[in-house]
Amino acid sequence: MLRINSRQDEAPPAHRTARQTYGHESPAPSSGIDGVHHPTCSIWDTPQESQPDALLKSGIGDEAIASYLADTRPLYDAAKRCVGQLSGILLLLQTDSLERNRNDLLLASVSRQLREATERLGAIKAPPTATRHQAALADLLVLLSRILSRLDRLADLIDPASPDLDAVVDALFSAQRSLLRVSEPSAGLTPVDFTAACCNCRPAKN
Amino acid sequence: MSLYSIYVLEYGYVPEYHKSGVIYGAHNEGYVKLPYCYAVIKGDGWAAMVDVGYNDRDYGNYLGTLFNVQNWRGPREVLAEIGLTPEDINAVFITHAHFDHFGNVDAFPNATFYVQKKELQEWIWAMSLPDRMRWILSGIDTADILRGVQLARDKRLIAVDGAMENVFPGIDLHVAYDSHTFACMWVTVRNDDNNESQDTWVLAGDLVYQFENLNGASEQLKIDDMYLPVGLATGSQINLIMATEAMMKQVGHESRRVIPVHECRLEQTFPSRLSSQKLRISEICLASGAKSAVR
Repeated sequence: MLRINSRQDEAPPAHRTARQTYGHESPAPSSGIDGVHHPTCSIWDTPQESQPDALLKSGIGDEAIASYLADTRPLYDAAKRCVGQLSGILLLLQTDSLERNRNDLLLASVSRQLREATERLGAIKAPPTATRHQAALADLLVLLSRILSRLDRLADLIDPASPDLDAVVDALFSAQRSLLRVSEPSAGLTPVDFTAACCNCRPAKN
Repeated sequence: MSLYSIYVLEYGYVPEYHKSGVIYGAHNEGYVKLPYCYAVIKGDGWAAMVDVGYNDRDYGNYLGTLFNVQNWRGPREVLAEIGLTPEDINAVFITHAHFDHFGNVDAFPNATFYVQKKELQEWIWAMSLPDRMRWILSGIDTADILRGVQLARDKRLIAVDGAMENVFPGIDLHVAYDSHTFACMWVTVRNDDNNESQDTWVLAGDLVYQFENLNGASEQLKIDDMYLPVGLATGSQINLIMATEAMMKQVGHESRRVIPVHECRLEQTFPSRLSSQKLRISEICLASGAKSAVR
């Protein structure tokens, strides 16, 4: 099994390397990990576009707001990923694609991300104009925690017609709507992120 | 005898897209037009699509604006050009889970969707990674995963595990792992329904964007005939090249039979016309007895 991160509570990938897929004999990666850059490799140093200076340059003129958004962006992204993972667990469950070990690790990952995001959000002092945004993001994290707790008994969610599943899916759609409400794409709080991608994914010139 | 007609229908386009996004290594070579298209396989009383594009409402509209997508038209308007409605679509093969391929499932109420199991599993795994590794998630809309739950509940989402032959008569699904995405599919149509087909078409999804990916011409490298990978790969460029070779083998290395859906010059190879909305309709092949939609 290929692992690209040593944290114990992240779900394992089920990658197939080039060699495994096509029988191709590729040179040994310098990291010693099959086909993946070492965790300390500089390739992971993605652009920090949500830093206050960058936000000020992008047109968000209030320094306090720019700083708040820069601090909040990773927490927003955590919420976004939790919506995706919780939805994903249900999707895998409904398509008979969920592996028990993987599921436990995914749930642990969501739990950790929510806990860390909640703690960090509580430590951020929002400027007055951003207090409602902060409260909405906090509410979203609470909602996601509630949904997570409903996934403790997955057996109740296997039946596609289950009312329990109805409730969880409705709650996830509600969370998705909340996520859109707290989005600020100009500051990198975006449901679909291209800002960290290579030049290939950047918008064409307008 | 040909079982199916195949069409590539433009539903929008980016007038000037970085060429380096289309062809690996084409840095500072300017811009190309990048059409967004539906690929349609139309049989006798049956129709399938390869991917569903994205919806221009809600956040899709923001993305479209961000990418400067022009002249976006919905599937009802576009499919009408070949005499179909969204309700007529029976099956959709989702080549991969990027927002511009998996983003408009709601528009096709009668379709069953096919997507690779590993494509779903790996994206969901990637969401468990730390924020500093979020590059991996580029192009994924978590709302699409949520909509997938509804499809699965309705038994309209099938998670395919690897290659799948004859998912419908003469239609095979293939997968390139760790290439453009974790498990990127292509669709092979053996239009004579023979196992050793002499009339094979490959709908390449995003494994091939444009002709240059098949018959590469690099101004900088002074090369005019080799495979060049697409500009974006979550996985490996090697796997993209190997997948290209696998596709080309299926069509006897007749490159015109590998259809790049983002190609803006299909009209140079296939009968085409512009719709009243100035969007291109290309007719890749016609089923036996079918009337042309472009002549």
